[in-house]
Amino acid sequence: MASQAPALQISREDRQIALLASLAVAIHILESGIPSPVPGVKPGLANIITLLVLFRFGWRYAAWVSGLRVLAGSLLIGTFMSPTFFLSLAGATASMLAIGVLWLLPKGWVGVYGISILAAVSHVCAQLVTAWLLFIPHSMILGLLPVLIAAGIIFGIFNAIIVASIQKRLTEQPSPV
Amino acid sequence: MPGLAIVLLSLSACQSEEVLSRQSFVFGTLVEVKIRTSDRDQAIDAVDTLFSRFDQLHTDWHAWKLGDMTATSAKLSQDEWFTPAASITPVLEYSQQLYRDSRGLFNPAMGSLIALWGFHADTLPDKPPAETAIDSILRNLPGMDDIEFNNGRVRGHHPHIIIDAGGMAKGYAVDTGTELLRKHGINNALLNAGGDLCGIGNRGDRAWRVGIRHPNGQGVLASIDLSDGECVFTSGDYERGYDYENRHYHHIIDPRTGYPANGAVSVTVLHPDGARADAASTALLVAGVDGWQDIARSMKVDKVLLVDHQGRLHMTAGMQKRVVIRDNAAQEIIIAPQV
Amino acid sequence: MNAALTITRPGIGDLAILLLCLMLIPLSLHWLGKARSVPDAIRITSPDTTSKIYSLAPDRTLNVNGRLGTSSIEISNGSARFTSSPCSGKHCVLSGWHSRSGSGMACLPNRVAMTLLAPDDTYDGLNY
Repeated sequence: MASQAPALQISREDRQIALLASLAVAIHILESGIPSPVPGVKPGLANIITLLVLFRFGWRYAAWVSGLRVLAGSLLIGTFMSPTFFLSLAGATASMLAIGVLWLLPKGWVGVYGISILAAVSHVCAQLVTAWLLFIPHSMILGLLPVLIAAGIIFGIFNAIIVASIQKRLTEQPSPV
Repeated sequence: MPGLAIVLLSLSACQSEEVLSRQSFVFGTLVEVKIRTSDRDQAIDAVDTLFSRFDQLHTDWHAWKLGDMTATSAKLSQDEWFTPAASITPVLEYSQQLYRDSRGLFNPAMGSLIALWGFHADTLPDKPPAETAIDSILRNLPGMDDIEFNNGRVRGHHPHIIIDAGGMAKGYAVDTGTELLRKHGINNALLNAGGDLCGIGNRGDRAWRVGIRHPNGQGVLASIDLSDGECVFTSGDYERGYDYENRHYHHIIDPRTGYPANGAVSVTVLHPDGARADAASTALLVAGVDGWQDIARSMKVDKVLLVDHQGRLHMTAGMQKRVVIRDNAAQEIIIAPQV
Repeated sequence: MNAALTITRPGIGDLAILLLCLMLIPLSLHWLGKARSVPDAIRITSPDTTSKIYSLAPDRTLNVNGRLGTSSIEISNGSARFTSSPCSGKHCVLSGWHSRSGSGMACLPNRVAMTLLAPDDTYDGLNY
């Protein structure tokens, strides 16, 4: 799993993780511009980066990158501590928990696609329920669940295709970073 | 799955109050109780008590199986004073009142006629009785006025009295049931005794809503939102009965002719008193499309809906205000405002 | 790096997760059936006849007689609106389309009102 970086020494992996985290933040900010039936509820494109970190460095680093993305992303957009921030946090937490559960399964049972789909679906479910519980307690909101689950599945597959192709390249040739 | 688990958790968390539904085959029919409550144990306790009470009442009041009512019938025919079982006297007294209010169209004293038609048995006959047999009973038909009351004691003045309180017993039982539920601290419930219902309180988000089934069996004719304590009872010619030579013989017998009532298809009565609503729906079905308004007045029921053999709906102005008709229910609606 | 995770072709586990998530769609539909407020019927109340419930299924226009004259209610695509009403303010017409259950509009001067009803607005008991 993750290699242990010696203190105060910036390793190649650290650089990779930092780069991936900043990419995650960038995607997060881009994604905030995508229209959604409920403002703040997103399909979770930033999960692409989370998954890349997961496969290269393990769950703990993925969780770090995910948390950093939510925090830095909201600070940069200016939504820190706003409803949008809590929706992002809920989505990231739920998908990291879902990934964590699958990560515990024996290796080989579930691959990129399964993890990605479940992460995306958990992401939207958690966001929608958070939106319903905290901000818009109208049953209309939950009525969107089927649509958003469908969107989550589609984006989950989409993310997985991207992650798989990146993974393929990274394994075929040495990392450029 | 975390996503699903979170959704499940959050949905269940907001339901501290629930609508419990329990069913049991008591009182010779399927009884369902819906209770809106936040105290599940209290509600279950109340429903269990209600079901066992109904079971007891069914045995006590049965018109032809040995019990308090058959014992009473036997003694009533002997023309002497006696004290019936405790569960019987109030039923007899109220039946007499309803008999008078219905001008004899609701007649629980004519059990002998009902028995002649074969309805005092679990399996129904395959043909109606002979006309001469009907006539001989009809010539000297017992009525509830043949029973005298004195300080808890009763005396029958007719040798052929057999009490069949079937036309009001369910209503009386449901009244007992709602009273029992209230005593158990239940303030919101819907009691459904085989298609006759009484409501207590409401469902929470709205009133208890009852659909009145179309007598032709095709879906729902209309719906009524019950007020607190209101009951809705329907009698129809499609209920218990048998066919012989392409004719249907049902169990609501017209005491004037000795034959099953055929003046209407069904009558629905909305009233706070279940026993009165039950007896009135029976009496008005007997009265039929021509005479129902007079009997409704004398029975003091002002919310009545009658379906005639042409499929037309007749109703009182009071019922019109309360009922919502499905658009495919009837071509013609006739309002009787003077009731 | 975990060798198993470099597998880029979907396997049985992935398929299982996909199927599970797909199942969530009808499940959530069914399960939120009560919460969803998509109406399927409309109740129209008028002074001269009894209140009636009409299905929202075929698109059509219903003409209802009121105190002052005829109010027209158009039903289209699961929504309803007043298209004309003989009342002064015409608030009922101006309010436009109504598509949520429980929502409705009344033309008070003409005593004609409509309310949209959701499928869960059915009966707590059947009387027969």
